[in-house]
Amino acid sequence: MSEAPGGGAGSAVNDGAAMALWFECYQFLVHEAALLDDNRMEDWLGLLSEDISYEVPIRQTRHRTEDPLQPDAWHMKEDIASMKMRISRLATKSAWGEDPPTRTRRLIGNLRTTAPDSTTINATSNILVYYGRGDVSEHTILAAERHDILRRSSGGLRLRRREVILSHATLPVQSLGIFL
Amino acid sequence: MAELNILRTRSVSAELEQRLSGVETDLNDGLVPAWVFGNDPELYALERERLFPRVWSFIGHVSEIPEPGDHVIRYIGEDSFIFIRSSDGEIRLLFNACRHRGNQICTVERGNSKAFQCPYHGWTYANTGELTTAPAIDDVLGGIDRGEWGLLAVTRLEQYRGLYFACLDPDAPSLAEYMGDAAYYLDIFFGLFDDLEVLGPPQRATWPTTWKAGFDGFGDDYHLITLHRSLFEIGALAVPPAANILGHHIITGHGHNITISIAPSDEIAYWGYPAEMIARYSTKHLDDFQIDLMKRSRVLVGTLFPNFSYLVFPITVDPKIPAVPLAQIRMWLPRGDGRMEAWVWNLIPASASAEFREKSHLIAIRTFGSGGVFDQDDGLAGHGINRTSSSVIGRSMKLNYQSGFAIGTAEQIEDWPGPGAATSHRYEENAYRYTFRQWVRFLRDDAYPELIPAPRKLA
Repeated sequence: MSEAPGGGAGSAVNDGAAMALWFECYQFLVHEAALLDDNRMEDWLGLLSEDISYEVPIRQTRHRTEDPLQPDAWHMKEDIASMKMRISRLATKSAWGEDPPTRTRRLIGNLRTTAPDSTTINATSNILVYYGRGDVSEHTILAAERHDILRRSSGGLRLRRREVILSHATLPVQSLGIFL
Repeated sequence: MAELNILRTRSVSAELEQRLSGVETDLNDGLVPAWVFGNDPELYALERERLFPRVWSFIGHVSEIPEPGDHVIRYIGEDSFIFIRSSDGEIRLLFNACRHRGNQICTVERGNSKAFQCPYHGWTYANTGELTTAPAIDDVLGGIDRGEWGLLAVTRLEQYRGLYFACLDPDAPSLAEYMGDAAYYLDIFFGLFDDLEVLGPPQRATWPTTWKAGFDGFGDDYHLITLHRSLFEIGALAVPPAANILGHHIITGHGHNITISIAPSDEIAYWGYPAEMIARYSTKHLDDFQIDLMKRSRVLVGTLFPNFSYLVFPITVDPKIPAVPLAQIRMWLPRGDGRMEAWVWNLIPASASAEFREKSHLIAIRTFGSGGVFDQDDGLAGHGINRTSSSVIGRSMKLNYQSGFAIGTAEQIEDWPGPGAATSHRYEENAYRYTFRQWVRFLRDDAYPELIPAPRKLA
């Protein structure tokens, strides 16, 4: 990931396998984003591996020489049980914060992929989410970089790990009722 | 050391004064005028000047700055301060502003610094606040009294059980007097451990409502039944609504209040803490009644006037998994009309096992905080209240806070063994009326207002 692509033989642009990997991965990520935008939560849950780790660490404003990400504090730190809890909650008739649902439109880009072995893909991408709710015109943009690990399974790609590196120190919304 | 003074210049328009003067009359009838939750630049300016500098504001927990030089940024109202453990070991609260042109000298939320150099002209201060040097110091600052031109320091910084609070008003009572009997109930949890520490820096999230929705909603047990019904439905909440009503609201005076859910048996008391934690409890600060309350307590929620709250209770993400208790402190920071920041710190005794530490931290993150399932719904209600209360028709509404006063079955307990006025049950609404009464006294009184004592008889 450290070498700039397009530099010569073996670089990402010239490498058919790398292009295929990138394409396969991008297809997965936009499909997954569409499920979330369309509130097809159970279908999205089906794309998570049973050992999913989903984390949104707290970011702080720090000096350039210091790590802005806190190693010991999170907005979200989830496993499959807590993801199921969140999604089953959304299916109740009293998840008021998401009913009516927030209107989201996810844009996924700047994807970088590597495959350390035949069943694992490391995918880093940027996400911008338009986030609006209620009958007012105000909206919020959430921005983050995502460090994903995808795993090949018999049913296709599954999300094994997602670390969401927020561009926000203070969350611009009252809570993360959506997945990034 | 240069001292910080509040400039109190604001005069109140006749229109606002008229509204404020009617608040206590409404409260006497069990009503709160809706406009208190609405967007109102004059009211907000008054709160920033007459309320926040004069109350004892929560600043931070001692464990957030363990080493010399450690500092974090904290706010009183919207004013920025550096909460720091200086190299001489003393904990200080310094106004985050260079004395030369007023530029902010600390631009990071957290760090460790021996000194702060202003990025503008380079005036440099030791982490004790003293002015030490500047570029071309002799040519430009020759003759300056460095003792006089240090960072403005808050002289009234006090702690209770590791919780630091600050007050900017020289006329205010001490923290102990200000907390009054609220400390007795805070001790039921905070007095049990000598080694409580924060689990990382606070979560910060922007809520589309007024900061007052924080204190009004956090100790409100009644809203769990409906707003958080989804959590009962999926089995996350261990105590069902019919049982959760059991227990007490306690009005300790000064605008503070406490709510305790009491178990009829010892089944899930101690907030569901495991034996390894109960074995670490030290009851040296507690009397027999506090110990009894602690043993039978399923949920403990307290709010210190005006914008500091704490919570201890058990919850799970899956009814098949036993509930795990979390301990949390929160601050409701004003951020202008229609916006507030909720800050959330989770707490654990340093001596807890690594396993329990992780369990308690995770359940807090998943349920109750900036990524938690509770807050999703709380933010929605806060937004709705704020929109109504900012509207032409809505702001003239009187909101019903009559339960336990004119309506409902809740009654004051006549022979309550502890301090304050206690009620049974927990869905009554007297507690907030006393909080708003204290709030309006701060806004109306030029002199330091009376801290309203707990009533002998709720009225």
